[in-house]
Amino acid sequence: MIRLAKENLAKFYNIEFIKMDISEIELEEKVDVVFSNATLH
Amino acid sequence: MFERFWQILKRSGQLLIQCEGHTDLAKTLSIVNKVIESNEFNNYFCNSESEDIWPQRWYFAKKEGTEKILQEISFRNIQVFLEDREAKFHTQDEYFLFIKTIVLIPYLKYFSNDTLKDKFARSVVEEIDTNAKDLQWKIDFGRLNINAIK
Repeated sequence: MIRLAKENLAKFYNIEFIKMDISEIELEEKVDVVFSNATLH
Repeated sequence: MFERFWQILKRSGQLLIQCEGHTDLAKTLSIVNKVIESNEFNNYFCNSESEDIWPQRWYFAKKEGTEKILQEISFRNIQVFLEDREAKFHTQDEYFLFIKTIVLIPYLKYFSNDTLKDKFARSVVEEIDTNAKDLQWKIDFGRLNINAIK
């Protein structure tokens, strides 16, 4: 899924993919928005 | 998990989430459970002492419980609401493919081979075809929308 997403969004320079456990998520920088669709349930 | 989201958000950052909600799959899972309880498949979901080994593992959050969690973390401008989002399929075959590869995944692991897995999934479709025509061919998704500000 991540490989395909990388391929589909390859032309965008400002997208980074990080694979991690969502319940243990940690980022170096804080973000403006946390967006999720059909991932949590 | 929501505390993690709080930690990674900037001040005034926004939480924008859509996930499965309390009403999700209610009709669909009632049909699946009916097929599980049939003589043909019940033994696959029981151990040698006829005890049920199928954990009812679906948990779909309610509006009130979600709001409480967000309030306790100190999110503000909290908006949480349930929304029926039915997904329709053009044909029975499309529907079959979807439930077999998405909805029925946790159930199919109880079968030892692809033939049985296929048979179980077909039986769910046949049960709908015979006794639940209001579900032809759609999935009764219920979404929980979550919007809040740090």
